[in-house]
Amino acid sequence: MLNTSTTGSRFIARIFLTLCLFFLVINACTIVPDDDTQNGSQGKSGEKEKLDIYFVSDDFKPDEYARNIWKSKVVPLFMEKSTPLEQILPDWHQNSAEAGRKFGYREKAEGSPWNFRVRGKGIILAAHTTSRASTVDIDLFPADGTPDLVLQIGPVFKDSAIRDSLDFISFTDFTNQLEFARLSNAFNKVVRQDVTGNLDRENLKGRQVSFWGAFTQLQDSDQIRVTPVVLTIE
Amino acid sequence: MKKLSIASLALIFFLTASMVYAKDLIVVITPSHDNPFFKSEAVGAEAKAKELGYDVLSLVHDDDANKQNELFDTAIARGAKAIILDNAGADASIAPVERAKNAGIPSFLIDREINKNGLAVSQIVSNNYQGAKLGGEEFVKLMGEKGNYVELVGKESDTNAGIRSQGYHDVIDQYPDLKIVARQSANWSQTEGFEKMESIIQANPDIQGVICGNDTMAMGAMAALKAAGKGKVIVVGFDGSNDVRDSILAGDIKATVLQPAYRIAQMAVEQADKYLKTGSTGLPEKQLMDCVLINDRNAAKLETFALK
Repeated sequence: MLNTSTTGSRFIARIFLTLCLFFLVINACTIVPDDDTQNGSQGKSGEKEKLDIYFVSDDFKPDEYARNIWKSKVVPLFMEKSTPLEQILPDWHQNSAEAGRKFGYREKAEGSPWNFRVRGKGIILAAHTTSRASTVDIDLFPADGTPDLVLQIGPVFKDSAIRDSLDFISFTDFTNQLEFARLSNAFNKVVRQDVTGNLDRENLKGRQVSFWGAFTQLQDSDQIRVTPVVLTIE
Repeated sequence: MKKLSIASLALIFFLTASMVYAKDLIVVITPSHDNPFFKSEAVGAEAKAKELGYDVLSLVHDDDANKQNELFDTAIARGAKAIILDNAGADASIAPVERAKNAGIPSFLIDREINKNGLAVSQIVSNNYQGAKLGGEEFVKLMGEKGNYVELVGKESDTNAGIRSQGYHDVIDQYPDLKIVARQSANWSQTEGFEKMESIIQANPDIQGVICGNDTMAMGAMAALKAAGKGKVIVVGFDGSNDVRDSILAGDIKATVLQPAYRIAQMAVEQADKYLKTGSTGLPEKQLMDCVLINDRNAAKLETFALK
């Protein structure tokens, strides 16, 4: 307390330094590029408007989880255990529930739709790319000029067909509905990045396609809407 | 001496008789029945339990975790065989469910989950994420993909509030012309929905839509909007209550998402019965039940949280 003026200026210097550091940190933060701008549909939305959702915690890392099992478990399951779609179609058009019992998967019965792991080859009759939930209409070989299914090509994917068709994933293994939903989004994100990310979207009509993927029984229509796990366009 | 032994014999006889004839007890614990959703659950569980030959004690915790603790003590003291629970908080309810488990009483959770697995025998919840995406997509369509909107969020202690909001935003945020002007919790309550909406309207008169985490908040918001002469604002709820059904049929609220509340409660009792008789439900602990979109096309078929 003897020399208050020195203490005072030291104090100011210290504040100044702290402020400098603070701005350095802030700047450092803003410089980091947002490497995934399409993260908007995920649990925590992008930098601009952080939506606070109750119970969304960073402890659970859905992207890591999905990424870790994608090549080792998800893709192999589809390659080994999927049904040619044309084999399902006759039953499906008569009675989708019956087709489910024969070819589908669901973890529990009541109140859950059937999910199907399928594969097929065909030709793209039309591409609908104006909506962010883009799709293509596919006519399976032997082609007859009418579409048999729609294939989702993103960037927005509807439903949880991939998560729900994996027989090694159980809701009981996750803390709550938020984690389980974020996991589904994470699978769809892998599809967006690895499967449909590099499509020549303006040049799809008329091309031949082979796919492995999943679809889920919809409530209000018998449309087959496949999310691809493996996709080749020739 | 003789008298005494006769008396004690009588007492023993009475006790044995009551043990033989008293039915097993199922305790049903839900939030307040003021909200028809919870009432429907309680009624559904009660009806099924009686049908299966149980005595039923139906209690409400009013979303008060302390009160819920006391109700669990009551259930344990009364020697309940099973507890059907719509809980008072995803974290706060872990302890009482565990306490019941340690006392040998299995819990069967409905509607709301707890943030820990392996304590309850079943947790049967609506597929709220799927439902919220249905509601969100309908909202976007009704709004013509543009306009200012408000979101009324549910109770913070309930994962259903979080997951529904997440589902709404995962859909709505894809449309840059839909702008959120206010986002507040009204704690699932109709009165709070009304009051919060009233003050939101004052601060933001230019509103075209309100999306709500449940039906009671939607009813409150709709009433506030009508009182302010804004009856044309698009309101969407979540639950599928008869109140909102009537509102949809009257052209006020535009849509909601049906949760099969009555059926979920009955399933929980069926699973409890099976568990008590065989030691297993044969089902995974956590079970999702898909929701159904309700609008003017199918509202007339809705009755007490089920489609006719």
